[in-house]
Amino acid sequence: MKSKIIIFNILPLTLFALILAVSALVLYEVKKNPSNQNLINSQLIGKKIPTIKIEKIDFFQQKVKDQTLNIDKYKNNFFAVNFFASWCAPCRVEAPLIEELSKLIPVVGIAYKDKVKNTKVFLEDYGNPYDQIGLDDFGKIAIDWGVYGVPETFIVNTDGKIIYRHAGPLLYNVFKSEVLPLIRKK
Amino acid sequence: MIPEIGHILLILTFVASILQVLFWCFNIKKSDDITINVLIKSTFINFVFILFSFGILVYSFIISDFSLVIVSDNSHTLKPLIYKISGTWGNHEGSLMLWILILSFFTFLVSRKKHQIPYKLLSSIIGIQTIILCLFLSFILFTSNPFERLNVLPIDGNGLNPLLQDPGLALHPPLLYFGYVGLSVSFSFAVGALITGEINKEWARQMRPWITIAWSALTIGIALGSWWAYYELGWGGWWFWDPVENASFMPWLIATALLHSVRILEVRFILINWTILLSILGFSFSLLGTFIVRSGLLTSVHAFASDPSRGLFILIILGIATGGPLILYATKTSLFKEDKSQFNIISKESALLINNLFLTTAAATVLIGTLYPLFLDAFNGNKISIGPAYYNATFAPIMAPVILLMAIAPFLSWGIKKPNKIAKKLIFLSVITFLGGLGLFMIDESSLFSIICGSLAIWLLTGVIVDLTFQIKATNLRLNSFKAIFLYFSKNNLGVHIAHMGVAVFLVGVTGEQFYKTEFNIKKNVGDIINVGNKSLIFDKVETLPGPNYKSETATFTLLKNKKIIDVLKPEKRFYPIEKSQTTEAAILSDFWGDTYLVLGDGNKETGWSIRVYFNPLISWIWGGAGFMALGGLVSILQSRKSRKKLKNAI
Amino acid sequence: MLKKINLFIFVFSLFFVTAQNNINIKENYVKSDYVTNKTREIGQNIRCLVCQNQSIDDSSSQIAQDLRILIKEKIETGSTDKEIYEYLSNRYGDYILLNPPLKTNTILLWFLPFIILILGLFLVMKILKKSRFK
Repeated sequence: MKSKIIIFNILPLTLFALILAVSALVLYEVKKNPSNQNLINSQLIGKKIPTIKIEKIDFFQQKVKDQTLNIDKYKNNFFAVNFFASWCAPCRVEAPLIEELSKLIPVVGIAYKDKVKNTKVFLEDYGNPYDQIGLDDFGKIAIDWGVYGVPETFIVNTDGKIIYRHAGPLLYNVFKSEVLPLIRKK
Repeated sequence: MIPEIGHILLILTFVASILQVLFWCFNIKKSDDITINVLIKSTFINFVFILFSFGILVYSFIISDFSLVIVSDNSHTLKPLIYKISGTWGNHEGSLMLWILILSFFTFLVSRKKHQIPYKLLSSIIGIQTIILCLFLSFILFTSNPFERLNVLPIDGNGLNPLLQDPGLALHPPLLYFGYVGLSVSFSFAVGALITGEINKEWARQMRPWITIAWSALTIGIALGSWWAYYELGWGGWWFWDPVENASFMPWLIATALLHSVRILEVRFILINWTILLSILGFSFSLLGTFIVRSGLLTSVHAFASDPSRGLFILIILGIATGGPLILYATKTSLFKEDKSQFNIISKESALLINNLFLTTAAATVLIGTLYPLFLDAFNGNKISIGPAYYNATFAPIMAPVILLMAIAPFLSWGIKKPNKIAKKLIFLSVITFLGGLGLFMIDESSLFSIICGSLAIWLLTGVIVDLTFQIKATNLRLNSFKAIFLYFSKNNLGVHIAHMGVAVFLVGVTGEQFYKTEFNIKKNVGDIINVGNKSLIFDKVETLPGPNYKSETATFTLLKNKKIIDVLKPEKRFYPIEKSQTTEAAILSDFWGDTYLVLGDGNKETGWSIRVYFNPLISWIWGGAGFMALGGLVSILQSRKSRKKLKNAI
Repeated sequence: MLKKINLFIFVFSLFFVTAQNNINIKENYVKSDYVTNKTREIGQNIRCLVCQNQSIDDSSSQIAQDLRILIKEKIETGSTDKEIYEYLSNRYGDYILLNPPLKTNTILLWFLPFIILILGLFLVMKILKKSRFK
């Protein structure tokens, strides 16, 4: 009988200590990685890339009709997929890094909910690092990739599987510490 | 210069409160005159200092002293005066200042109960309140100084979020803080009892008014927040189970349970440990409520300053203020000897017991829903979301028995007395509820849940009325006028009846709004007419109008019912140039039966505008119900004061 | 007094007859068709990923609109509720579902409230038993 009473007296304290400990842990994690806290994890890591059946944009502002992006040419190669838009401010910030990335592996650009002429102006202003560019004017492809904003960058390996996703503008330290090692592995 | 005085006053109060706490610790079990008078005087000093410091802060906002970070971040010369004032607490640092102002005020008020509370207990209460004050002051002084200066004086401020330039939202924090601080008083009563080792029925009687004030304030505070969300956010919703809403709702649930468990304690000496535990938890949840909005732990529409480094300080405060008492609780609860007298299985005691069980479980459920995503993420990195669907499946079924019992409990008696005419009352209740449910069933739009919810509301409403009428019948007095009835009940639980009636009214409102509302989204141009049933909305015009610190696009609609003009609605879109943000001001026409709610979306003369129309039946009953609840609380405080004065005069 | 109570009951029941008139708004204007209602119903259970704790039904952000269109199309082509929720959670994770699915990592979430309730009920019964027999 007495032991039961003791359990009931200690129960609130232990529960409280547990909640406090976990909250402290979470806060610690948040403090360590402030940029990571609101980003949801990609569900596609380790899975084969979704098909990208969208129209290819030619650099000279002509939508090449009936020609879709050719993903097969990257078989047995690493490549990247970068969702961007002319109306997206952080995309301008990451443009130089995408340029750097494109020197190492081919980058496929997907213009998200954009117009061809605006995309052309954006690429003229900030450079065109892309091996191919597709137009996802309704955002359907983005949804298939689990994209919820621009920019987002995916790295695909030689087996055609997504091995990495970064949401938000690519940052130099992320590029150096996370992206480069993955590519260098080949 | 003046803000520095404000800062110095805070520092002085901090030092003084530390000394006061030490003084109390050294005199902890004494009950002599000197000890108590020192402590009482010190509460007055704390209050006055903080009052002046707070006054200086408000003054800085009024004169737009942009040399202070807080004023430049949150205010602007063009802001209307009343929002300059309320802007004082519309931010992290200022709201904490408001908190300690109310805390020191309540502590001062408690200290004036020198002749009603035994000295040993009173000194402990003051001591504990001062510890809390210390903790908050240290948080303010070390992490959230409101009097911080800017190096460069800006020409004007950054303005205030237009969503916050609103009377409802100006009152929302003060009322919530009255609630939290009220719960700190009952907390101090409880911890004080653990320290002094003495509890009796008088302890419960002295504690109850403080819980009632806290509960009433929380009721209005939460209702105000909901009402604000309803008319400001433009989607017709008033409760989202948002973590910050939950953070204020949990203390309310605990306070409700506490209110009832303390009531038992006044009559029968049982559940002492439980009452103490609830008092501790009530304040812990209040602390959680105060800090969760500013810790960076949760994502929410409300997130104040999401600052993780402050978050750690907050956790430490929480640890001390909750962990300490809980340790004390774990070691000292064998102190109190319970009453061994009997009570029926069907009695007021058992009803209140069950009420406590369900209310506490409901509070635990809300806590689980709020913290679970956090815990899961910490445990294995999985991220999930918890929305209204979860609470509808867990919280609602747990609260249903509370409503059922609420109607019956007043019929029951204390102890081993048999309840009076309960079969008659129950039959009457059941018949009316059945008829009501049938009536609901006849309505096209009804669903299973709407019928259940509506029937519960009818059950409770009828229960309160039945209780009133049978009580009138049972007295020997001839109560044949409303005045006589009113006078009779003002001596007999008038507050309780009003409060319970409030819950019933609230529930009726919820049933109407949740289950019978209609909404649609259409594109219309000037001159078009929208016909819904016997109502019509004529789209008259759209014009651009200036406001004090915004530009408005205002549409005018005329509402007709049965071809007769009822009123004009003017939904707006406001653009605030300084804050560079836009708000939608819905046009709401409220009456007894419900609201017509119009929102102006995007559009222009060529393509027309997108308009959202909502018909929300009985929604004003939600606010009315909350109002009645709070009124009931206030009435019962006045009643207890009157009866105590009578007792005093009789002695 | 009994007469007064009866009068009250009468008035009370009238309440529901008149209430019918005000609550029962027949939409001869907008057809609340199955697709629209279903889209809204499902939308209320899908989280807006760029908002702070809102559903896509309550948000005017781009992604919310796109997802609403997607859901509507899926309903029109015959997908079941389950299929739509699965489609979205396969791409965005369970995070996007405002109604957390019952999986191993949410068992505690869904059952803990009722476990607490039952344990509490046992406690209360014990106290009540104690109170009956000295």
